[in-house]
Amino acid sequence: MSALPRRTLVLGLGNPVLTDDAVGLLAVREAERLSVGTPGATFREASIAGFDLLEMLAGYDVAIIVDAIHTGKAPPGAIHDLTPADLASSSRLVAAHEIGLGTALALGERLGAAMPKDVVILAVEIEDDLTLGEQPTPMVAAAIPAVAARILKELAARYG
Amino acid sequence: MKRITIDPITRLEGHGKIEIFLGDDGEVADVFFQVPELRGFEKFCQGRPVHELSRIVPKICGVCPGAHHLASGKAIDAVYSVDPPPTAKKLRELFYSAHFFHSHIAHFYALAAPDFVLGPDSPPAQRNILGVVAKVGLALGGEVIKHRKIGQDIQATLAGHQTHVSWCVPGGVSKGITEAERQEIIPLAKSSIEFAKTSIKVFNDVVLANKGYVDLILSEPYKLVDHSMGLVDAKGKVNFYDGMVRVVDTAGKKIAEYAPKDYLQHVEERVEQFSYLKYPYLKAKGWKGFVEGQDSGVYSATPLTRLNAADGMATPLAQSEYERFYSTVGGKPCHAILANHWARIVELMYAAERMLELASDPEVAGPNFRTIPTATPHEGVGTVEAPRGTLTHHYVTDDRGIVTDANLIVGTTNNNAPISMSIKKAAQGVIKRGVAPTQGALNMIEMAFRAYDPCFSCATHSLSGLAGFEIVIKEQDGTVVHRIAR
Repeated sequence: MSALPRRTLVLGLGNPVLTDDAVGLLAVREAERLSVGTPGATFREASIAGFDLLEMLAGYDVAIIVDAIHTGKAPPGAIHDLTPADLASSSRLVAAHEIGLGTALALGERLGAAMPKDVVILAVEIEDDLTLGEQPTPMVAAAIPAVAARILKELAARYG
Repeated sequence: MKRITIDPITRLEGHGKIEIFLGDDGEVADVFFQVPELRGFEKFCQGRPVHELSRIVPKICGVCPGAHHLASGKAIDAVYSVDPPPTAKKLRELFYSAHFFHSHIAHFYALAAPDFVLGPDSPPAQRNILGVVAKVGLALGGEVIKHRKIGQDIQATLAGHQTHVSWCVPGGVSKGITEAERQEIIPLAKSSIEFAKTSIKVFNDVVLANKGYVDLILSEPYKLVDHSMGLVDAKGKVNFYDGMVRVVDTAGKKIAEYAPKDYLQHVEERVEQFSYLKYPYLKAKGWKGFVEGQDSGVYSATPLTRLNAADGMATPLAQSEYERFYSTVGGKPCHAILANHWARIVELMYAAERMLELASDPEVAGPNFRTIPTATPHEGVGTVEAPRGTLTHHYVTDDRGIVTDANLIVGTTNNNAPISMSIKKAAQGVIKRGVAPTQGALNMIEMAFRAYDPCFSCATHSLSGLAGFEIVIKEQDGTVVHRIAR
């Protein structure tokens, strides 16, 4: 562990009124509830992308980002471990009007902002993100404790 | 028949997919674009107090929450038959000018500029804002980030939060601003005007100075001759927040000007069997199919058509750029869809100048920012110009203000037919019989799509899988004969 506590952002992304799209928000909320307090870790929920993401991530050393994903190749609730490089071929982390996560990180660096070097992306497989609704589908809802536990495990690995 | 699929459309909001069908002769036979649509808006709204909707609708779209918030707020005013006081209207318009300002910055620098700064056929890995910054300079990148943030900061100062706003209330807004806050906004607005000047210069240097690009913008594949829609103020000038909806025909002659509440008398939606998308058209002209021209019912609602529909811009620098625009593109109306990028720059200047005008008006810091509604709620329509087109919310309630019916026509929906037609024309222009399409050719097709700054599904945030960008050409039996992936 370094002398100074590292600044970590645990960021849940998603839309609170689009059924499963909220899973990132709900999992981060649950992780924060279960967390016994990790100095240096900040929990946030946001429905943002692109430039906003750049601004939100700037200044953190570590980013643990939780978002929904729809590949159709895994059961709902499954966690996909991704890195920014995995997203390089796609121009966005989320459906962005502007720039994707990889571009946001690179652009921030180019412009001299301190962007996190350690970025963990937990993408949770979902079933439905097109129906307006405030309740996730059952399998996705059931997976939230496991996603929250995974977030805490990632934190524990960094803060011991 | 061969089939080319472009899925997803990179650098665009939502999950888009373009399918190009080649006929047996190898030429483009037909083009369809598909996007997922949100389900259940009406059901979601039903049973809720109508004043909650202006707080909920910004959440359905991560791209233009400000547009939804205001269209909804205006619809709710109408439901309660209440007219907000001047301070509230000015605050809302200031908020909205700031929204347009940062939205147009994002589109121009992240989505439009890469095609011109790097070139339409440059490698996709370079054709992004990083490539723009590498070529135009780091200083400009810093200015882009700074001014996009200024737009958002002004929104946050006014409404308490830049995206999750719960600011509009029936009859006005929930909070005003102090005189000190008003004074803080003035230098930000001045700086925004300077940035808009810089953007005009960037457009000059990068696009207009290159004859090849001017020719490309004005070329036939990127032309779509249809009618133009946009909101205009009492003097016939472009307005984003309020006014009458004006429609001019393909020759620029006014054929309709109506209050937003009358939209159903002027616009109808066509449902086609092959798509779940609706295709709005002008009722007076009737649906003649996906065809251009004076007799067709197809219209567009974009930055370009706002300029076409209006008599000019309400602020001096934007007006001067408006005049230069039309003298360069060969007169008014303009049907060159790629000219939308320049139209956005004209609007960027207007948004900045309007911010300064409004912030300089002491009344925006006045104490009277709400009129308490007293009428029994019933029905209301609210319309604003979203950055990408005319946006309408329409609510019906019972006499307690509980929603019984809700409808919305989002900005991009207006353009469903024009987008399909423009993609087809671009595809016909670049896909040649027997020649495998290159990345550059496919990007030229996307450019037709991107000109509209479409924002589909208003908007799901989830990752769309890791497919990136893939084009597959298939024989009729499904055999893959060609594949390009990024």
